[in-house]
Amino acid sequence: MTFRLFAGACLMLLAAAFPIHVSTSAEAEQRYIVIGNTVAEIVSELIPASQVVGVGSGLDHIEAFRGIPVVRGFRLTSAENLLALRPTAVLITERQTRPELVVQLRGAGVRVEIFPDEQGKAAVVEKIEHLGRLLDRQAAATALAERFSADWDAAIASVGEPAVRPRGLFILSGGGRPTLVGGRDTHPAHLIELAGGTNVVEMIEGYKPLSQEAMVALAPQFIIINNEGMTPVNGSIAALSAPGAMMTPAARNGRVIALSSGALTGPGIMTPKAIRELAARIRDVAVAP
Amino acid sequence: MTLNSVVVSAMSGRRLVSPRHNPWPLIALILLLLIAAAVIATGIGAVEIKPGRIVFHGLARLGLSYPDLSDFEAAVFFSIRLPRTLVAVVVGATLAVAGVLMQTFFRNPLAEPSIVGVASGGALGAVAWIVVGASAGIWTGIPAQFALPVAAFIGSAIVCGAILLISGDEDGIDSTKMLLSGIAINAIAGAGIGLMTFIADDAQLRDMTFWIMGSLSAASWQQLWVLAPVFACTMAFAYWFALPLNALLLGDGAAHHLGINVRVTKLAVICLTCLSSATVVAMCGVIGFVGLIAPHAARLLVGPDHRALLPLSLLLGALLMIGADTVARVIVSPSELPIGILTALAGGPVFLWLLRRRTTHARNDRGSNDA
Amino acid sequence: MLEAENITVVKGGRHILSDVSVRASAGELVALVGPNGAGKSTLLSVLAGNGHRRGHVHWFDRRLSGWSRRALAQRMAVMEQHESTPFQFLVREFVNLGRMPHRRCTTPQVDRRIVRQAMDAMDITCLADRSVTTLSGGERQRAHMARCLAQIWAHPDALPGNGCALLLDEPTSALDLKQQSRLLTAAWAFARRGGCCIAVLHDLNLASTFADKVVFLVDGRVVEEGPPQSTITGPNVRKWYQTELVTARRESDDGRVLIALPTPSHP
Repeated sequence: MTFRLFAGACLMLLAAAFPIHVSTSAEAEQRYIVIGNTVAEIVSELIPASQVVGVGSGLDHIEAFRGIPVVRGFRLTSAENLLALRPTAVLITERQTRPELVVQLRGAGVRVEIFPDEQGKAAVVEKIEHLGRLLDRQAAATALAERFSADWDAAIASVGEPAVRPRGLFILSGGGRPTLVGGRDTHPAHLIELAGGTNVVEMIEGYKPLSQEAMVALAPQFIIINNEGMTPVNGSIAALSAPGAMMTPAARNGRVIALSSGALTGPGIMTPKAIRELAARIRDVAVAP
Repeated sequence: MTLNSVVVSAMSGRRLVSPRHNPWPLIALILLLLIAAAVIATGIGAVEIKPGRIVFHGLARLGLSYPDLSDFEAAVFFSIRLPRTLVAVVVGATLAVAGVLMQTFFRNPLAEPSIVGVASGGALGAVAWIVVGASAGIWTGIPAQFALPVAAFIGSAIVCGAILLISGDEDGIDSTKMLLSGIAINAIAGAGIGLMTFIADDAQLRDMTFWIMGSLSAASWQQLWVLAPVFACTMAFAYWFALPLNALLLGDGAAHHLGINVRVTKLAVICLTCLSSATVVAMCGVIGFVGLIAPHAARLLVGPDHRALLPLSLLLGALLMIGADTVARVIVSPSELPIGILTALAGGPVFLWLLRRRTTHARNDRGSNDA
Repeated sequence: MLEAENITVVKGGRHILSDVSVRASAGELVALVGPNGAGKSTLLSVLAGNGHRRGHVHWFDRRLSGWSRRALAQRMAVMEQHESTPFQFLVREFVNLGRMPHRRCTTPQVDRRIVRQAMDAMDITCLADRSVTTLSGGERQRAHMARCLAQIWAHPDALPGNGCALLLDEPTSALDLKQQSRLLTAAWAFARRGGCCIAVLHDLNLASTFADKVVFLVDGRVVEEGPPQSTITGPNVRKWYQTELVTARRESDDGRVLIALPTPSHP
């Protein structure tokens, strides 16, 4: 009995003295964990999927990453789950991290790169270039950045300076519960502005509930929902059947625009496409509200 | 009968004489107050409708014509404001009656409908629906706006069945067992909700959070068609059992010796509470403290006799909800605060004050016992 | 009025009562005495219609199961031990609760008169508008007693008596000497008017002074039954309580006063 205790204590001391160490030699194979839509989209363009050993949830639309193990859990409660995949580096967006998690990962010798969630073309370009440096794919990154930049400028140009900016709203969920809408700091709100519309809930910050009456008072001419919400079970469709939503010009004229979740998270390299798509729909609204 | 004299006599433990002798004038007064509050509440909101015009809208509906009323105003008033105010009244009244029943059942003026776990069961049902149900592809037959309330109600129903099974024995329902099982169920449901929180993604998390905090923002005539009958049923039965409920306050044994069927009465109380609580949670999320404060305030005014307590409690509950909902709608317009926050903010300190008062009272009682 | 035969109650494998038979007639005050754990409260519960048991109980010439709950409650009131409520009924309202079994066949005016008279009988009229939670222990016992009287009070002009039963479980536990005597005097007067009263009493002195019949219960069995003089005797008390009994004479009416002296165990 005492021998076992002694042996156990020795083992514990040894374990404490030698923390797990993962080799990070530049020549050794790189193993990345990628978490966050915007980062993942860029990474999928720069490196082969074989170098990615783990991805966050919600990345179904990136074909290259299908089949890679998904690390679940909002805010990723355990560093161990990530470490089990033996990564050399973790690429993660700011929203998804926790300070303790970062400390634990770095303590285990894993490199952690945190990418801020900022809006605007410059932020995306910066992200592409940063990733290019990190992944040692500067050339590909520069090319991607240029393509993206051109794409973005073209999309903005196609929107132009519309004389009339139709009023719009993004509904996150609702139906039997408070209707959550996208306020000024959300990506859908930015998307609306970029595509030539006006976000009616500029005075709200983030995703907040909007009262039915306010929705009527604000009278959006078009409403954007996530197209995964087109199935009857999701809250977005239910939100549209609430009494206030039904009285909006958008609902009365059938101006409900469904975008993919890839388009609604961002900004990223998919965003120019989303801008164009949305702009086309909004132009219809401007012509015949 | 000023507010000051109410407070003073409440502190001294002696009751005001007049409402105890005849509570009906007071009840009539509170009813008028409620009607006034409801009318005022329908005049407040994001869309500007001048107070006087509400009356015109009402009359227009009845057939008289007023050419300068806009259809738009009428639509807002009748589709949004009016049902919301009525839902607030009914929800407040329902929660208050459920509160009275719970306080009688547990013979404790600090009990609340959530004590047996029905509310958390409903919350778990709703949250599970938001996180897992939507993608599981079940419920394709049910229209989207009903799916969530139905899921919540099922959660509550399961809890109700469980607690009846656990605390029913050959002698009827054991209050202690029910209380303890409520604690366990609240813990289990909390764990379940935590699990859902863990696996939820961003959007679902936000959705969940705002639902749980309780809100009347989805109020509609459809909700009213469900809430109103449930309330009427609950109140009717509760009032019918008013005298047996009085007897129950003395204890199971004493009630039995007064000729009351204790078993049936207790079963009725639990079933009514579960039904009304589950319905409110399914429609509006978790709204706390109304079921605690309204009955308590009513008891301070008219005493524990259920024949007066039930009507006054429901009126005070409705009044409380209208006030809270108006604030919730207005204070951060165009957004709105979840009403559960407001009732907790108001109710929490009041609860603590009541607790403190009870302790001092108990101390005084013990003191007089030794005398 | 009461006939109980072969009452047996088993709980958790233990025989709380074994083959107990009790009889009480109109005009009798029956005291149930015995050491702790003898089953006195259980017996009273069974007689009141509570609890599971084997055996027969007949009240007013009818089986217990033949009585509707409410009809029985109109003629029999039970005062249990440790009754308290945290709810602030006024004493007046509290006593009025006793009128509940009569709710279909009475009027509020009649109820008010009866409540007033019940409070008079127990001398708590001055407390009528006080909350029961503010009463002292003795006052609360009296309020309970008033409630029980109100429950069996058939007509407002006649005190309850003939045709009614009162079951009391240690009614004097919280009372001082004067109050004890008053409450039991009220019970005794009730019996004199033709009512049947069955009381569980701890105090042998009170049992001997007020009871017409004493039933001695030990370990769930009736060991003695009869008038106090023959049941509460020195040898019995020594046998069942391990206590010496001293008899003294009361000066006022030449009645018997008993003083029981517990014998401390010597080292």
